Amino acid sequence: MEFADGEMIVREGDDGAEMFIVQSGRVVISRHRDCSDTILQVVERGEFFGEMSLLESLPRDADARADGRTRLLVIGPGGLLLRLRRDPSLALEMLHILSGRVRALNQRLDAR
Amino acid sequence: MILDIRSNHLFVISDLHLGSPVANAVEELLLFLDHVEESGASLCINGDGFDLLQSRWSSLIAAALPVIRRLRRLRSAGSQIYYVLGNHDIMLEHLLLDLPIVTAPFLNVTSGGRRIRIEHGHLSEPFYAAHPDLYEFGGRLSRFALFAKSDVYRGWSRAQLALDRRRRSRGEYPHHRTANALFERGFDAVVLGHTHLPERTELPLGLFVNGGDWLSHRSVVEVLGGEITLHEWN
Repeated sequence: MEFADGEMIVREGDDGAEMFIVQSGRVVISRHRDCSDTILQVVERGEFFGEMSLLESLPRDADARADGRTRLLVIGPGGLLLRLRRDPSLALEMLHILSGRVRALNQRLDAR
Repeated sequence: MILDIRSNHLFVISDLHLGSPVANAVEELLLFLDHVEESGASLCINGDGFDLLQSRWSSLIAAALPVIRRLRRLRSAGSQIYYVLGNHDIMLEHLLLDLPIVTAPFLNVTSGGRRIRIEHGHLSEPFYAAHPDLYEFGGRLSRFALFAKSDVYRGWSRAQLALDRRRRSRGEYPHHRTANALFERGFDAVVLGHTHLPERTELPLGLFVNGGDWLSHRSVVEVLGGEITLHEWN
């Protein structure tokens, strides 16, 4: 899937069961609170987002918007299993990134 | 676990099989490591550097010790050393932790703005993926044949080449399939080993490289500012 610069990819609260891998360009993940946007993360080429909705079947947790012309690989639940079978290193990379996110959250909690 | 690295200048070699009865390149390897040190580059051994499946302890130690000493010297000189585990050395993982090198199941290298995946490639092998225990058992059995007659390796190489050609002619080459799955995930190039068949092919979605071996070849993959070349060391 291709997105133009600034185009919305998913919106917070949307239903969705796919995750996305950035093939080119980049994606800004943000949340809208109290009339302002907070940028949570910038997802670069090769990284992924949207995995929470895929893994937990819950609505989208944040907005995702293309930053520059962006191409995404879309993976649904069945596709993920097939892809993991063909490319098990994807699972390790996902765990690696998710572990890093948990560590970052723990550090933010400790800093409070 | 380190999976993501940045490197402007990196040499990748694979399938040295140090300690196996058909390994014959220790002296040349030491000279090559000198060259890596002189060039100030980093080094990645992309699997099956040390062969625990098809070695005797005496031959493994005799071949590995001078190489380990040189690797330590290389590290002291400031080069980073990465060791991607293959199917003949995965059980060495804990011993390798005592060396000043980074061990990893695969590496994602960013060089000159390009994203390069380096992995050994045994998981792309359909038979290994389906029956890893049987594959290992076969490897252990063939050790006896190799020690009895090293020509067995030549026979295995020919069989490997024939299988390779048959898969390619049918459009079923599993290592290209692995590479294509990685290109879809935003990689520009994929460097594998395992087959012992050096190759550099531009596929429709990216560059596929196989680093060959140091048994029948002396193949070296060089990554410099994102550019990838494959050549023979001499």
